[in-house]
Amino acid sequence: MTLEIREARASEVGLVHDFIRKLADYEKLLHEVAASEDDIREALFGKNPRCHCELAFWEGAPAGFALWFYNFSTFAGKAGIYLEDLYVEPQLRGRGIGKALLKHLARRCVAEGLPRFQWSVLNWNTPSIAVYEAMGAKPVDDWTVYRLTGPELEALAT
Amino acid sequence: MSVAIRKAGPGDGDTIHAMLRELARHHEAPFTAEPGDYERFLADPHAVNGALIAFWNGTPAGCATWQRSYSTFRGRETMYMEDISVMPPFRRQGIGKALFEAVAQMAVGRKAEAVTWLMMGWNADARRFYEVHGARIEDGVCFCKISGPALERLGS
Repeated sequence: MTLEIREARASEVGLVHDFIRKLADYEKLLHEVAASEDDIREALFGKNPRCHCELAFWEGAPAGFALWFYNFSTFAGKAGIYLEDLYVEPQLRGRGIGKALLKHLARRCVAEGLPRFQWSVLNWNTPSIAVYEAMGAKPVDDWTVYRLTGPELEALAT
Repeated sequence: MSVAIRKAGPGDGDTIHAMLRELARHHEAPFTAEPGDYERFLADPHAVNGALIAFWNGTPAGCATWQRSYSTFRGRETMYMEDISVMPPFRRQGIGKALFEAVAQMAVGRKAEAVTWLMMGWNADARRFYEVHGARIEDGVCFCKISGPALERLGS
């Protein structure tokens, strides 16, 4: 049984886009997906790439992905990694593929001297939360996530 | 009496450092940044993060820091606001609101789809302030972090 993790290639944007839609479906948020394959191509491989993507392959077949970008801790004065998406195909769950993707990014943090690795999870996603807590991640208690968007964002900006 | 806001640039590292150290002290949070850590991104025209400084009658009074973020579901840039700090002598003059508006303007200018941030739950004044401006709490989302020894273990 072999697991390979490597960076996504430009020829694999369709696969990444497909995984993004499958993740949204799992999160019951498919109706919110507006990203086209071209949007994702631009974000990963455009002139000004915004994100990075790792793909996991189980016995050579695409098994899941981790999409991330660098952020910056102003209190530590150092960059960190923010994991935007993590997904493993349902039939391949329970093999440690998700954890291997997280470990892959944690290794990058340690190798690059980045002090923090962050992500968000939906509260009802208890299988994922159990995996995160088992490896020492902590929910950041007492912090609330806010979002300003659409007409309210436009209103504040004028 | 008036507030003016401009983008931070090279040489503003000390000012931002003093303001964020004050914010960390207020939140009783660890703070290990050095002014030079900010100078690196302030000098980089392609940096994915940046800062705004507010002046009250010409005196530096507060700052906001932001970073570029991305929504794969929307296929659009979003803006993450990391900090808003107003120095104690300058509070209650609308400087925080002016900084918040300036971040929103920058987000709209960059065609970002949303501004997101984290707020400490106990901060009821700040919560009211944001909700008055149309911000919504993302219900059902838990923000997670791994750092220190747990990160070293996972990354070994």
